Amino acid sequence: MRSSGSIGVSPVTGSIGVPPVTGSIGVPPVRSCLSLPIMAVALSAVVLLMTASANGQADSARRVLQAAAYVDAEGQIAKGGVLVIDGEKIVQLGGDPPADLPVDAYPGAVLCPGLIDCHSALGALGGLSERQQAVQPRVNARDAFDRYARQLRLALAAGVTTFALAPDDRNLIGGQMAICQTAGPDGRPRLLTNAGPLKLSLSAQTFRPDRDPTSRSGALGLLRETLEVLGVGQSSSFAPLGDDPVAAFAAGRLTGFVTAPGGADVLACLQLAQDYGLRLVPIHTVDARRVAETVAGRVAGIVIGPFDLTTGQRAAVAAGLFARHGTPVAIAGGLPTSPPDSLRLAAAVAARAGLAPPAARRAITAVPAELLGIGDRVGELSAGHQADVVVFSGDPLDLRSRVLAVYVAGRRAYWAQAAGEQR
Amino acid sequence: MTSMRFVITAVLGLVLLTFSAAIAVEKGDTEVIVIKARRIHTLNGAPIDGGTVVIRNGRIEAVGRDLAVPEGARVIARPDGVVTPGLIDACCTIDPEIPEEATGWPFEGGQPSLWRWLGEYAAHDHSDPDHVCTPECGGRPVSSADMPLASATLPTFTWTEQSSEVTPHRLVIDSVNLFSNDFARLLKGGVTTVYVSADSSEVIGGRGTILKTGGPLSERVVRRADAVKASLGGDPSDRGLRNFLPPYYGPPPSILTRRPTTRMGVEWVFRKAFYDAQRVQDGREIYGADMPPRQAIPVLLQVLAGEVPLRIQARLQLDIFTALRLTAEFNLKFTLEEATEAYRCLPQLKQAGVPVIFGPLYMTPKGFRSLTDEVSRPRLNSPKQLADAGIEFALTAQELRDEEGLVRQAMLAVQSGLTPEQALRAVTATPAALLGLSDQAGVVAPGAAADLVVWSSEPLDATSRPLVVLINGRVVLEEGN
Repeated sequence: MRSSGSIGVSPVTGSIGVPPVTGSIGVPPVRSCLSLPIMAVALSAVVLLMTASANGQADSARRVLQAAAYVDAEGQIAKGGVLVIDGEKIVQLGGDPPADLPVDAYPGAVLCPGLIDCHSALGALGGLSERQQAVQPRVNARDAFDRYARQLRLALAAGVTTFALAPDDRNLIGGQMAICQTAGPDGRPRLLTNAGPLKLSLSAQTFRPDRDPTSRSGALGLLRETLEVLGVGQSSSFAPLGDDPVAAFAAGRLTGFVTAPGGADVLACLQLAQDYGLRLVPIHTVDARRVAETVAGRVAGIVIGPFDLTTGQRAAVAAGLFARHGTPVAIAGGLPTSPPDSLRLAAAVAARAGLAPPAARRAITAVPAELLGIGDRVGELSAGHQADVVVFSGDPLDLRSRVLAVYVAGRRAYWAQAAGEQR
Repeated sequence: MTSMRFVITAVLGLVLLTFSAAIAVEKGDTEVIVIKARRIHTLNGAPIDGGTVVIRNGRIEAVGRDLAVPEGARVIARPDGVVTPGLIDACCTIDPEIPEEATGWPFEGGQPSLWRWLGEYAAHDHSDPDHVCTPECGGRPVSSADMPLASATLPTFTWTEQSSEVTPHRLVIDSVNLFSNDFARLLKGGVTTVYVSADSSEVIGGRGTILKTGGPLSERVVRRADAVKASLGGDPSDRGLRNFLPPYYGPPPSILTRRPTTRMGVEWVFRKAFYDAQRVQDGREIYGADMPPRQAIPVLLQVLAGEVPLRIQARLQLDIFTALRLTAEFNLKFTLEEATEAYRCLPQLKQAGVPVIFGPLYMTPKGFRSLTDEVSRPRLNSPKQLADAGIEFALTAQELRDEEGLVRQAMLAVQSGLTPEQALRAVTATPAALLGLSDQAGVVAPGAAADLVVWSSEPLDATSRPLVVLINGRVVLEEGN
C-alpha cells in the first residue's frame, strides 16, 4: 500500500485536503467545511451556506454512487449499483436517482458494504491486557485507541471501515471492546461506541504462573464464581456497579466474545451459555470438525480467523463447516500485524476452503456488524444504513479486485485515483 | 487448474464424509441389540457359557442362556467372543493437551502435553555436569540469558489449579478435553468408564469427575464433581510450580514460592486447611501463611461432614501411615490412591477399613513417576497381598495406556498370583462400587448400563483384544468397522 502518504485527508492534523476534483464525480467542497475544528462552528456554517449557494445545488448533502453491481443483503453480487447518499446515510438503493445530483461514477465497479473486522488490535497504543489479575471487568479498549495511528489509513485504503478494538487473549475477562471506524464524517478515525461486547478468553494464554488462574479448571471456576456472584448481586473481590459490563454480560444483555481456539474451549462456552443464559460468540476457533454440529443454534455466531495463504486446511475449512450447520460466521482479519488486505484475504481463503461466496462476503460485512450489535447501522447497503461503501473494481472475494474508493459516513475518505493508485 | 479444483473437492468431500460418519456413530441407535458370545462374565454370579445379552434403551434387559431374540433386534454374534462389563479405571489421568498456541512450546508436531514434557525431561541425565539443557530436553534454564526460554520450557499448565495449595473448589472436569485422543486409546483397551483424578501437585487438589470414554458428548459426563483429592509425600513439594528464577533475578517470594518443601510442610498444609475450615464455621478468623482460599472452605466443610468423599494419594509406607493418622484426627473416611507400598501396611489398612485403588504395577517406573524418590520398592504381587488380607481394592493404570493399560495391569496381577476372577473384579465391579455405581456399571445384569466389551478370547489372555465395545447400548467400537 503505497497510498497512505499521499492521501488527501491527514488524520494527524485533521486538516482538509480533499483531492482536487473535476466534474460531477468530485467531492462537493461543502463536506470539507464540516470537518473544521469545532471552535469555528459558526464560521463553517456561514461558509457552508456560501459554498452551497455557489455550487448552485439544491441539496448539496446528497449524491449518487454509480457502479455496475453491488453486494446485496444476502451477500450476492447483484446488478445495478446505484446508490443515493444523503448526509451520512444511504437513502436509496437501485432505481433511478434524482436527476440533478452530483454523481460519483465508477464504471464496471462493485459496491460493497464497508468491511468490518470484529476483533482486531487496530490503532492500539500500548498493550491490550492488564496483568495483575485475570478478571478486568472495567477495562475499556477505547482507552487504548490511538486515532492518529498510521495503520488506520492502511486499513481504510484496504476497505476496512469499521473494526472492534479488543483486549487481548491473556485475561479471563479482558474488558470491554470499543467499536471504531477508520474514518468519520470529518475524515478522521473515530470511536463509534465504547459499549462493545465483553472480551473473554479461554485460551492457554490465560493461564499464568504468577496469578490466579494457572489452569483451565482455575479459569472456568473463577469465571463461574464471577458470574454467580454477579447473578445474586453479592459483592465479591470487586463490588459490581449498576452499569457494570460484566453484570450486563451475566444478565445476558451484553454479548461476550470468548477466545476459544479448541473444541474443548467451545464446549466450555456452550456449557457456560447454557448454565448462565449468556450470549456468547466463540472466536479464533480452529477446531470445527468435532463441534460444528453441536454449536449450531447455541451461540449468537462464531468468529473464525485470521487466515492467510499458509493457513492449514483444518482451520480453513472451519468457516465452511460452521456455516453449513447454520451458525452465522464472521471472519476476523489479522490487522495490524498482517497486511491491510488480510481481512479480504481471509474471506477468500475461507471461500476457497468451502464457505459459500455469499456467506464469505457477509462474513466480513453483515455478520460481524450483527455480532457487534451494530447491524442496524452498518454492514449492509440498504436505505437507512450508514453510507459506508467500498468501491471494488470487481468481486471483493477476487483478490485481483482493487479498492477504488472508500466512503465512510457518506464521505469519500479514500480515493485511489487521488492517492496515485491508478493503474 | 482443473486438477487442483478436483483435489480440493476431493479433500473437502473426504472431510465431509468423515464428519458425517462421525455423526452417524455419535447418534448411534438405541434400538434393541442382542449379543451372543461363547461366555459372559457377569461379575454378578457365575459366568454364563453360550449366553445372550439383550439390550434395550441403553440398558441391559436380560442376561442368560437360550433367551429369545426380540423382533427387529440387531444381533451381534461372536461365537468365540467373551463378554465382560466395560472396564472401569477408578483413578485415571487424562493428558491435558493444551493447544499449541500455548506460548512457544518447544516440541514440533502433535499437541504438547505434560506427560510428554516430563518424559523428555526424564530421558536426559540432568545431573551430568556435561549436560547442557535445551528446550528439547525439557530442562530448566541455567542462566539468566536463557530466561526467555523459561516460559517455554516450564510445564506451567496442569489440569489442577496451582494458584493455591488448597483448591478443592476447582473441578477436574474443566480441564478435561473430551476430544482428547486418550479416550480413544482407553476405548481400544476396553475401558468404558473412568474416574479422572486430580493431579498430585497440590496438597488438597480439585474434585475428580466420572466420565464415559465414548458415545455422544451429551452422555459422556456421569458425575461432574466427585471426590476431593489430597496428596501426601513428595509430589506436592516436587511437582508444584516453583519460582525457577535464579536468586536475585526474580520477583520477591510470590505464590510460587509458598509451597511446602517437605513432608512436614505437606502435612501441615493439610491440617491447617481443615482446622481453618472449622474456624470459619465457628465464626472465628483465619490467618497465617497457606490459608485456604475463601471458596475452598465450604467444600472442606462438606468433606468434614462426609458429604464429599476424600481420596488421598500416598505411595510410601510412612505416607500411608500419615494418611491414616491425619484422617483419624479429623474422623474422615477416605480412599487410598496409588499405594505402592500398601503391602507394608496391610494390617493397618484392614483395621481402618480403607479401600485401595492400587496401581500402576511396574518394575521400572517411567515418566514423571521415575522422577520421584518413591518408587524404589514396588512389588508386583501387591494386588495378591491386598486380596489375601481381605482389603477391598481396584486396579488402575493411571496415565498408562495401550500395552501398559488397565487390562495389562490385571494380567500382571494374575501373573503374580491373583486369580483371573479377582483381577477382573478389580477392574469392573469393585471400582464401580468404589465410585458409587454398584449395579449401574461393572456388572452384566438386568438394569445396569449396557457398557460391554466383547473380547476375542478370555479378556486376560495375552492375545485377547476387544472386538466390540458398547457404551450405554451404543456400539462405539467394532473391529472391522
